[in-house]
Amino acid sequence: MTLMHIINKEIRHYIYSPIAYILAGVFHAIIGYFFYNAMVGYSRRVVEMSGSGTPTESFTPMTVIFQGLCNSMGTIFVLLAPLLTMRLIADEKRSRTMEFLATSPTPLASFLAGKFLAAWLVYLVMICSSLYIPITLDLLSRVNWSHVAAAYLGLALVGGAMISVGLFTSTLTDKQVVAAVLSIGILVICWFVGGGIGAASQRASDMLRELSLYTPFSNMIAGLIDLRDIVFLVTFILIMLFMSHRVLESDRW
Amino acid sequence: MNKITSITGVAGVLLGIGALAYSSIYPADTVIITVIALLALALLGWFVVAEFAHFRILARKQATYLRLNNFLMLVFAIFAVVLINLIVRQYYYRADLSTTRRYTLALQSMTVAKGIDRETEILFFGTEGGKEHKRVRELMDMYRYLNRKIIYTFYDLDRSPLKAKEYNVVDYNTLVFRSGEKVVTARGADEEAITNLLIRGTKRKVINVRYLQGHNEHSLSETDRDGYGRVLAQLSAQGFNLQPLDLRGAELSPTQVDLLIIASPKTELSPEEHEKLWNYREKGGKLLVLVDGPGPMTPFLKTFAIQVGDEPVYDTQNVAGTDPSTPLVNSYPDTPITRSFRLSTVFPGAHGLYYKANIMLGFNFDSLVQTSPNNWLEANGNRVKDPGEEAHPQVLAAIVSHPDKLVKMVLFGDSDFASNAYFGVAGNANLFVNAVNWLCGEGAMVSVAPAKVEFVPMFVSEQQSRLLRVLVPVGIPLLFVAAGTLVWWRRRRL
Repeated sequence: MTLMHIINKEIRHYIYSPIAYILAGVFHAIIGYFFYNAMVGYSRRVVEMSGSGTPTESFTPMTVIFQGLCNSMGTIFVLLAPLLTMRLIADEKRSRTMEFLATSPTPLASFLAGKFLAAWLVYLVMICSSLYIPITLDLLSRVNWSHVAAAYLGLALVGGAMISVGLFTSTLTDKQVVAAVLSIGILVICWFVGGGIGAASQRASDMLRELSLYTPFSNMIAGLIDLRDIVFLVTFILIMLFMSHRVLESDRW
Repeated sequence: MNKITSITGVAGVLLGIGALAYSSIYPADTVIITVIALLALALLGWFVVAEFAHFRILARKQATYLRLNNFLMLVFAIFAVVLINLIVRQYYYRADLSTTRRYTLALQSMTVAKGIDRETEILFFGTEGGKEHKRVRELMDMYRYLNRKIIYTFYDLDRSPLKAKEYNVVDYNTLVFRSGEKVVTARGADEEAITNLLIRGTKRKVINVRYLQGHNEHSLSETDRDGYGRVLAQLSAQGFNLQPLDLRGAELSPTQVDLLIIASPKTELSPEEHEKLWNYREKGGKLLVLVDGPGPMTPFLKTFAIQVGDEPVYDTQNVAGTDPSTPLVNSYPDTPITRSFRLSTVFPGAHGLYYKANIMLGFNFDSLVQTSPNNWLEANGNRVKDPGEEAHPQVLAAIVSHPDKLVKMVLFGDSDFASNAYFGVAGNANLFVNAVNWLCGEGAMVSVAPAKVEFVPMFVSEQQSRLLRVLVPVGIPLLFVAAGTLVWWRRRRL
């Protein structure tokens, strides 16, 4: 089985199972509700602000509505991405097909890469289906499409990182629910670790901020493309895939 | 595993640890950090390639060591990734695609940041997690991107009382500049505060003022009526390091020369000298230029969109006993140089300065000294106000600045007012020294315009709102549910 075969098989699985549709439906219901509220709220604020002079901070549909929604999308996927990935390996283990795959000539790396890429592709389709947001904003106001591109790059990379975590937890168990819960736990820590200043020392909080998935994501949705953020997210994905690989390799014995 | 590859691996690990330790102690030495980290990666890469077969066997070994092998391989991979991230953090690229250009510094700040030539640390004392803290972090990241010699550290004032005491910091949002032995503090959490702190911090104790020579200018060493000996004496007494400068054989840079005085050159400047002047100006150099009508400085002044009048300015308001060719000025526009300045000044044989606003060049031209309304431009030399010679109040001196650049120039339409003959007359010396002080001191500070606040009104009509309410939170999710149901139904039929 080549990499493309594995991707095709996984994508077919997503198409024929209800999980991807349910997740997409839930995602769009939440984000759609936020979008509607943000649009109406923005319009009201404009009327209020028109009478109170010049605003002290920038108030544009891009910074208020779009950036806010991207932020929400990231947070929503902390909870939804594990549901997308929970079955990737756990299901193979439960249905005892893992033994077959472990003994097949397909390299384990291709197998994992195929699973990861398929889940990421489904995630990207879900994210891209939210493009109606900037399009609507462009119809009613004006949109900086470079900013939109930076934000969607951030969503794509952080989504990849979330899926790699989900894939890793899925290799640890044959129970999908356990994989999902573990994944949510890890992602919540990785997401909020930068903000968890509290009792941590100055040096520790600086270091934790460096490890946070949210920091590079927030930069990108704000329109900043920084090579450090991109390299951090890509290497994060690679490390998670490597860990998944080691777990499956040790499972062979 | 042979001995050489083993040594390579160990050396790679040690160098990697060394790179990490070095980066935390000397974060400004980006070249050294990168070289050590790259060397470590190369050695580790060589080790992996040389021992690939061995690694492969280890990875698949069914043994009690399997978990240990996995653990070691994971540590190795994480170590390599950390080194890659460390290298990227030294040399990286940023692009600001934000709508409000939030991640781009003003041109003045960029020039200041790029001009810093020694390791400089900025410490910020604020409230961790606060809005100012976040903004200063973003700003410091921008400064560091432009110049890796700038490093920064953040302290929560409440959680780091000892550190705050070390720098006598008592207020939130305090910035501390530290470079070598020099420590400067300032209040503020915005771009203007940081840029001005950098300017103050990087300013040398001795202010270097250079005086252009080589074109028959007033001589600095002469004590006769025409010389500028009194200028030299006055500025030296005030601690300025005033030296003559021949541009033909010398470098001219704002980091070395705080102020360049050009006092009425009589012979043309060479193209090379013009280029040096131009570069000095572009890098944010400060200039005090005195001219006696059109002459060798005309091409340079044209680059500021300034012209000097051909005819001398005569004024009925002059010192008793002199003729109208020496205008007397005793009231001044409100400028940083003439604020609270009450002394009279005289300008023998002065020429008017004319500024033709040019949006492309974008300079500001603020009048510093003006004649009375009873002046005229003496065209035929008879020293009498003839019909056709009347003029509006003439500008005899001006401050020229640019909203986005650091360059500042004070221009006088007369050089004799500072010559030995007139330097001590009335307030001439005070005005001259005020101009020098301002150019080297407060005038060297920048005023960074606050970040552009954009307000984009967008209205959603009742009809649009209704459409959005139906379509977005309900319609689109239903589409996905319908697609899922369709797939499920079709598969059920198979």
